[in-house]
Amino acid sequence: MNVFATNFATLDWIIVCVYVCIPVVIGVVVKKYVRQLSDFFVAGRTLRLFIAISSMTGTEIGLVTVMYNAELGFTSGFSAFHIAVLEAVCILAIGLTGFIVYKLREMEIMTIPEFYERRYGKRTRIVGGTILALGGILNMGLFVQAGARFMMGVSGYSDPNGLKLFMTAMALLVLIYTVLGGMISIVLSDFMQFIVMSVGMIVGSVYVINNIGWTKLFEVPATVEASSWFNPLSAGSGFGILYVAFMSIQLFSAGALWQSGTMRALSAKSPKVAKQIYAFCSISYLARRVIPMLWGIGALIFITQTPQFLAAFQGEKALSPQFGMPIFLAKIIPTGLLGIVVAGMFAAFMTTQDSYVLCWSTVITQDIVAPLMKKGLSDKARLLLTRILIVLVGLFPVVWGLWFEAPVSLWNYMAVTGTIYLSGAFSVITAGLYWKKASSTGAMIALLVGVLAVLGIGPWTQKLFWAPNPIPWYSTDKFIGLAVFILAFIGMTAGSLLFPDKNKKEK
Amino acid sequence: MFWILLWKFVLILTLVTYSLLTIVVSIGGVFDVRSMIDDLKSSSKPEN
Repeated sequence: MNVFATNFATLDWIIVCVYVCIPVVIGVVVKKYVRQLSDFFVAGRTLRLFIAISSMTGTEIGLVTVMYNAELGFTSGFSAFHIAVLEAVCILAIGLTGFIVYKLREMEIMTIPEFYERRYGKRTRIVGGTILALGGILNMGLFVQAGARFMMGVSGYSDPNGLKLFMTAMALLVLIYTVLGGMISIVLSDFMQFIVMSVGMIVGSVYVINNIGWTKLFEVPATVEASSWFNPLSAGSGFGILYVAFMSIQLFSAGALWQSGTMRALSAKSPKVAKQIYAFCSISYLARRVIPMLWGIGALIFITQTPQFLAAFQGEKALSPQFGMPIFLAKIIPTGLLGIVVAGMFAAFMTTQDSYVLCWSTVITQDIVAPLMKKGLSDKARLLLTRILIVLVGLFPVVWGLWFEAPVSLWNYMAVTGTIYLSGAFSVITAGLYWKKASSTGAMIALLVGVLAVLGIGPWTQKLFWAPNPIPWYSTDKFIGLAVFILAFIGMTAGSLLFPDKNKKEK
Repeated sequence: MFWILLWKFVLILTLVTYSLLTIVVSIGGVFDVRSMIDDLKSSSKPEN
């Protein structure tokens, strides 16, 4: 049996193609409402609770999220669920306490680096904005590649160039409606896509459980070690205590400060709504990991039952584990329904892609270019520049995904690139909001230390340490990620104590 | 055994709560969209 055999037929292609055109229509319709900068960047701060939840869920459940979580489920089984639980607890804690997000919304800022300027000065804003944009744009570098793999697995269309063209067209569609309507068209599209995506995820899960069987789902596949399949602290799971510690701090800081998610809190109608969004979205954050992991687990169980499929994932020319889930779904979900599930996944791709391109373009305009201009930038110039940047940032994953293959799992790549910004920002913003002695020198040290996280992305680390295979613990992505968070915290504290801000002393 | 029970609970909790959230947000979101459009319409009208 062909490993790429699929139920995906012409009817499914029609469903997907018709569906992906709808947001462009929304973008054209809402363009007339964009009158000022805040309309474009934060939807005029008009977001009420339910639409904000749908928008945040849409942003945080991308096709790439589905792919990297399914990959984790496929390779690590239920032990990967610990990441989902940790993340949901972190988001719920932020929602209940309002930690960071409440105060940021109260300040009515549009981007995180705007806070840097208010608290630490313009120089910190420019440096912080540059690091944020660098980490964020690198972070979205593999979106299109992961999307192309999903489509390849699910449609059975195996020409990589054709798929890259298809994904490029998808990325262009996203750019059109984002350029036209900014945040307003994003939240309206997100709402529609939230419904389609959620239905797709729930229907997909029912099919997975029905196909594998509830009891069999919790049996360990023959190809893996029993203890590591369930226990994340087990040595064979690939996680361990160091990884759990890194994840705890990474997920908490990302929950509070990942710009694309935080923008929903900043767009909320009030600080109270900002808190509520987080509390409710803890469910979405749980689902965005557990459901795709379930699909990945189902895929491995399914594949191990058929020697031909198993052989395709073993040996020198083994398929990437990312192919496991889409190949599996393509075989168990019937034609027509498969089109709806895939449309849901494309909804996930579009909702994340649109928010990310708007988010990083906004940061470059507002926090890097505008502060560097001595005479400032008019609102009109800012809008034009942001629209140009949306196109450039949106095309980056198309180019990056063509030649870069993540040397670690897709999720670990995302986690480490996110840490470039998060490790510094977490200390800088927490101290800025809750510690009077926090100084601009401390902030600068913490932000620059955060850039060291780039060493955690595989090949560079190995080259730096001339590390043999397997990589020693001190040059693994999890150790470097955790160490950078700790170093940034130390840098912030020591820098603030040793070099307090002069103007504060005078006051 | 502990881990299996824990992950079974997490899986069921996720599927049930996410299904409920989808229903509630889909219904509530329709009203929010209407209010949001009204807000934007009123804010985009020129002031006299």
